[in-house]
Amino acid sequence: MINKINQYFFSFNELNFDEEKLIRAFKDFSTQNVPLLKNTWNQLYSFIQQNCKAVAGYRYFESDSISYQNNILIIDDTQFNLSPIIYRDLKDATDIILFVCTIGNKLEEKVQELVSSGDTISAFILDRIASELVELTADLLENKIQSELTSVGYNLTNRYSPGYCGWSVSDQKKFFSLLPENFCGVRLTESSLMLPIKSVSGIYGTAHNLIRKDYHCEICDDEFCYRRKTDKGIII
Amino acid sequence: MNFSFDENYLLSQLALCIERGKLNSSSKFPADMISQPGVEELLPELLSRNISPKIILDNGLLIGMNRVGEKFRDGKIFIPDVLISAKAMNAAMEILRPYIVKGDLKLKGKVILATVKGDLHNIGKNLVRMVLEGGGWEVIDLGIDVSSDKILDALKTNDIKAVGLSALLTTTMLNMKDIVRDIKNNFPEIPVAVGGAPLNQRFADEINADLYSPDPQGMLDYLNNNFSLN
Repeated sequence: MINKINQYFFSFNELNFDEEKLIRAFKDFSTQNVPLLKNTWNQLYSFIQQNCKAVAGYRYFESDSISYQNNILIIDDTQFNLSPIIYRDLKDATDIILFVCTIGNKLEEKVQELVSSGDTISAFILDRIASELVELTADLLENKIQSELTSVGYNLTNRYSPGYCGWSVSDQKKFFSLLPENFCGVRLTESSLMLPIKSVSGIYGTAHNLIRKDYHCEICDDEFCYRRKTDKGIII
Repeated sequence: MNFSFDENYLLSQLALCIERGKLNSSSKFPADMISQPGVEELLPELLSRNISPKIILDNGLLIGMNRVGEKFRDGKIFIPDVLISAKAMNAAMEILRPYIVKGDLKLKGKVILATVKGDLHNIGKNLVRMVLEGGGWEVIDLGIDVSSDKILDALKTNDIKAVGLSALLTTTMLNMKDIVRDIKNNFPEIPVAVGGAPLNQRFADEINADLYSPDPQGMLDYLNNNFSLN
């Protein structure tokens, strides 16, 4: 019903990052300084458009490869010690999807170049834009996967990444061992850092007629998590 | 020292320009100060009136930066606005650099910053650097993927007030423990501040760090509160 392994290349235009999303991503800028933000965006726009190389891919594991026991998810004999937050969302899934997204290393190189030239504010702005772009890449991939699954009545859980929601980032090594080498051009350092740095990896569960739950930020103690939601359901 | 009304006015305008991040008269931000003079006009004007660099620093620049710190602590502004002010402050310090080189103006002290071994994230540390330099501190930036040895060498060869360590991964933040231990074993009097996305106060306590701060302003406040001015 869905390819076991798949990879997509997205153009910058497909990511649909416009000025409205820019302002939303920088809502901590005071109104009086928004001209600086827009000016920096205009200066960097053509570089970003030409050098944002969005790639996303996934591997699909059917139920015969998966088992669960006490916060542990086992895929093809590889054990993931998920946190209770993630486990309670995934445990009803029959199938599992592991995914990786990246926008390449050119924007990160430009950030370093700006830092070296002393333009730390432009570096800060570009770094945050790059983080937004890789999240948008993950959103596009999610749309692709969900549209394929919808035709057979399957839904996705929330997506979770090693290093968040109590899942240790050290599980990245096991995670990547289940994917083809250099999948989407992403590799791991010894300390489990993904290169290019602007990359996202993560997991979905999926099942027939699954109902997607809310994230459980209220029981997590990571108060500075960038995906944390307020009681109004808004990411702060 | 008494100043004329004009000079007091210029110093208060300079403080305002730092507070609002007004670099020069051609800056397009802040939007409500377009075409007004900025740091790059006011500071040379004060110097040309023989106002000493120390007076300019204490009665203009640092007053502006202190207001920035207060507004940040009160939740009235956030990191981007702090950086914009810090950039204006950095420009001011560049104008004052010849006086620092000659010894006529002393900074508050030297601080080491480093992203710990195994971690290649640079941006958070650089934001801290910008804010500390904007607050009148001299930063020795050891870069990324930094081991204990490199920090200890820098501590041996410089008069350092504190060390700041950054990590962005739960795997690399564990390397902070060894680095803090090595610093404490060799330089027990040197406080170590830690920060980065996966850290929290509990972890900082476990590794015997002296400060955990989720933002650059926290480290600046700590330094200002714990070390007197030269």
